[in-house]
Amino acid sequence: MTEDVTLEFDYFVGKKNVTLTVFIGDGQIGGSSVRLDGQLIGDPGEIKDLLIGKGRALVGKKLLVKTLVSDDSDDTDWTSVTYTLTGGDPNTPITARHKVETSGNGVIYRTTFVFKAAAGATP
Amino acid sequence: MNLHVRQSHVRQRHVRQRLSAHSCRGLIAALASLVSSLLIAPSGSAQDAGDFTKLTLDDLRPPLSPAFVLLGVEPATVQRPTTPRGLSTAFLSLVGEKQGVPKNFALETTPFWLVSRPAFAFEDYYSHDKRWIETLARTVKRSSAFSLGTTPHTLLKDTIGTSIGLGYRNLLWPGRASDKLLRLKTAYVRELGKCADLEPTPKIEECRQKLLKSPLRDTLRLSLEPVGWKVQLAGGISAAFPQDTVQRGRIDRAGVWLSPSYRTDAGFEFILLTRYLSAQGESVDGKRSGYLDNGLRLLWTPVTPLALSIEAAARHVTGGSDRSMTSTRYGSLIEYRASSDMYIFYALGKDFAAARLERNRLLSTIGLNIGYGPKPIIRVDK
Repeated sequence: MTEDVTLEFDYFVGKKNVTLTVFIGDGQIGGSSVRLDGQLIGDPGEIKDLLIGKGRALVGKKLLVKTLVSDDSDDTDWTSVTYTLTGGDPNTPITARHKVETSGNGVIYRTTFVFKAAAGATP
Repeated sequence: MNLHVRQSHVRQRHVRQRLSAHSCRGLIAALASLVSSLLIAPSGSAQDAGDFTKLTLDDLRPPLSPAFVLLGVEPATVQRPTTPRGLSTAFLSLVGEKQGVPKNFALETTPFWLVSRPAFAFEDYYSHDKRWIETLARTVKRSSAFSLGTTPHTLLKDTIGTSIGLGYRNLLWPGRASDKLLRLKTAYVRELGKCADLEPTPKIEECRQKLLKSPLRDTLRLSLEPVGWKVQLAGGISAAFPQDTVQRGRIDRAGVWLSPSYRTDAGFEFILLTRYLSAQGESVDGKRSGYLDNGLRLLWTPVTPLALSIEAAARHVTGGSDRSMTSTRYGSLIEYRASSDMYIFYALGKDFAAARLERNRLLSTIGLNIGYGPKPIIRVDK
């Protein structure tokens, strides 16, 4: 069974390029896909320093990051995903975690970042 | 109240049958015994719990639960709390019994994993720090595991009494990830990413299930074994309290296991195994015996399901009612993994028993290892 986790965050962008890194924690293995307003960006799999676009061009758009973590670890039933976006605010990583109900289950994290103009930034 | 305590009902059946190749009658009897043993209740793990007179090289491997091995039990139900609250609840059950300490209590815990570790990546199972002491400390911290067990009898077969066992194990040095593992992991992550891109959730699950059954995942699981140096350590102690009286309590058994090994990307492995056991005799005089066992194995895995090995083991026994004795065992082994739960093996060599005979006897063994149950508790070495 695959369990669902759905999250949404606002991300404030300025002039800089926005990149995304997805880190899978708790010793688990996971893969992600990234879509900007429905368009696939990059290849599904490991997401590291993926260029999303220039901050100004992203205002009003939505970035959907879907990460599938399969509980393959014999040490823990916890899964966690840490998203690191650079080029905007907040500039601290965001971590989502979920404990599977049954060992061996999968977890699909659907995380949406809504890009908004940072205060003082001209879109 | 959600206790977050996971109890696993895992039973493993391992069947080994020694066939004597000396006579046809012996062969028929042995075959009959093999068939009947497949139908008998499980005898347990490769390390026959509690019986230290018999010895195979696998017995010298640091056990997953030293407490249970020293107690001579294989619990069908083991509490494995996954949260600090679950752990405290498990311990409270130890003192909650009006009759005293529970008679059949089994608990295992790896404190590091009682909480979520979002900063711990899969690669951290194999990574090294700049300084070796930091690698050692980090590896010990995340791999330290404790086992605790009680049984309603003592080694003197006194059923009115309690035996308590405490065990500890860890990994001193983690090895490193093989190039093959890293390639397989990258491919697996890519496939998980493709599954993640699907909608709705049932489609994602369908894709995941397909991936779980794929050769890619199977090969990945088989490649989790680290390469380079790896060192495992385990130890434990058991104490008996006849008549449940503290004043009559005594130490029954104590043991230490140490296993350094070295493995290459090409599938060669060199393993050294050392075990020291101190056991109270089962005779009335209760003399204590010491068993110092050393083993060596050279292993080669040319292709994933097939393994060839040469092994040797030596035992030195001191104390007890027997005089001091040294004996050796050596042989070769071919093992084939027929399926995810079944291994067929053939061994040829000299056993310890032969040391007592006037003429050393060469023995031939064919066997079958079958495992069944839900998610196995035996972790692929990390």
